[in-house]
Amino acid sequence: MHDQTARIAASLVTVDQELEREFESRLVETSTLAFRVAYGVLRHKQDAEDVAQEAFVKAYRNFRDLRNRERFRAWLVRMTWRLAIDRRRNDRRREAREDRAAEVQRGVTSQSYAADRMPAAATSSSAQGSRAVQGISPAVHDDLEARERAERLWAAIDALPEKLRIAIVLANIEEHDIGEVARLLDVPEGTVKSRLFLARRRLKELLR
Amino acid sequence: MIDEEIREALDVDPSPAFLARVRTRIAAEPEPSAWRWSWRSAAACALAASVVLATIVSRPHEAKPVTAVPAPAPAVARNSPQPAVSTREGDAHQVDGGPRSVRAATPHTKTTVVRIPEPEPAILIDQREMRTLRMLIDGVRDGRVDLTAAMNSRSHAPAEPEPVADIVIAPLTIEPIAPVPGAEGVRP
Repeated sequence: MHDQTARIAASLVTVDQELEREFESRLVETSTLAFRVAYGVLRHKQDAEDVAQEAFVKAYRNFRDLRNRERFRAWLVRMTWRLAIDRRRNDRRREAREDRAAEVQRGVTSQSYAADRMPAAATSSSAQGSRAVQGISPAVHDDLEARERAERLWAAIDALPEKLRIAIVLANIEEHDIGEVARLLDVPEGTVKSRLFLARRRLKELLR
Repeated sequence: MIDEEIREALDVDPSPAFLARVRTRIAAEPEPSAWRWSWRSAAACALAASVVLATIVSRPHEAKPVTAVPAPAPAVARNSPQPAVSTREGDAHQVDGGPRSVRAATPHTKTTVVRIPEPEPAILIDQREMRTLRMLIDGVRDGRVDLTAAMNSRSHAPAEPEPVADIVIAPLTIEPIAPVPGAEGVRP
C-alpha cells in the first residue's frame, strides 16, 4: 500500500514537473507577444507589462485544463486583449472621476480670475511658442512631428470597432500573416481579410 | 504605409526584468495541481453521492405510500392499517393482504378514495363466539352474570387425580362345541 501511494505521488510530481517545464517554455516563447498585445491597447509600457503578467498568471492557473496546448498562443492573446481593454476602461473611469473632482475644486473664483488673465497669457504664450519653434533644431522638430503623427494614428486606431482593431494590431505584431491572425482570433481567414480591409480603409479616412 | 506605421508603433519590447517578474509572480502562486486535484476529487465525491441518492430514491418500495386525491372538504380516512374484522352477520372476513379502497363519505358530495396498505392478514373470529363473548361481557356489566364463583374456583388448587385402578381381565375359557346329531358330516 505505501509503495503504491509513493508511486502515485511520484507520478503526480513528474506530471507537475513536466507541466512546469512546458509552461516555462511557453512563457519564454510568448512573453513579447503578450506584452505587445497589451501595449497595442494601453500604449504604456509599465501598464502593458502589468497586464501581460496578469494574463500569464491566469494562464498558469488554468494551464492544466487547456486540452490543446497548441492553442496556447491564441488563448493567451485573447485573454491579454480582454484584460487590457478592462484595464483601459477602468483607467478612463478613474481619470474621468479625477477630472470632475479637480473641476469642482477649482471653483468659480479661479475660473473668473483665469478669464481675466487669459488674453495676456495667450499673447505671451503664443509669442514664446513662436520663439521656441524658431529656436528648436530640425531633429527635435522631426521628433515632435513623429510623436504628433503617432498620437493621431493611435487615436484613429482607438476609433475603430474592437473587431477591426484587434485584427489590425495582431496583423502588425511579429509579422503575423492572415492565417496566423485567423488562428489567434479563431475565425476564418476570409473574415480576417475583410476585417483588415475595412480597418485600413477606415484608418485612411481618419488620417486624411 | 499605415501598416508600417502601426508596426513601428508596436515594435516595443518589454523591459529586461519583465520575464523575471512574471516568474516571481508565478512562483508565489499556489500549486495549481493541489487545489485542482482536490477540486476534482470533491466533484467526483459529489457525483458519486448523487448517483447513490438517485438509486435509493428510484428503488421501488415494499409498502407504497398512501396516496389521496386532494379534496377541499376534510375527508375521514383511516391512515393506519387495521385488522379487517367484520361484525356483520354472515359476513365473510376479508383475508386479502393487498391494499383495498375505503370510501369515506363527506358532508359534501365529493368522495375521497384512500388506498390503505394492509400488510398483516385479517384475524378470523367466529361470529357466534364473538356474539357469545359480547353477551357475557354485557351480562357482567349489567350484573346479570356473576363470575365470582368462577373466579374463586379458578383460584383453588387443582384437585389431585384419582389413582387409576388396575384393569383386571378375566381369563378366557373356550368350551368345545358339542356335535349336533343329524347334522351334515356327522355319522349316524
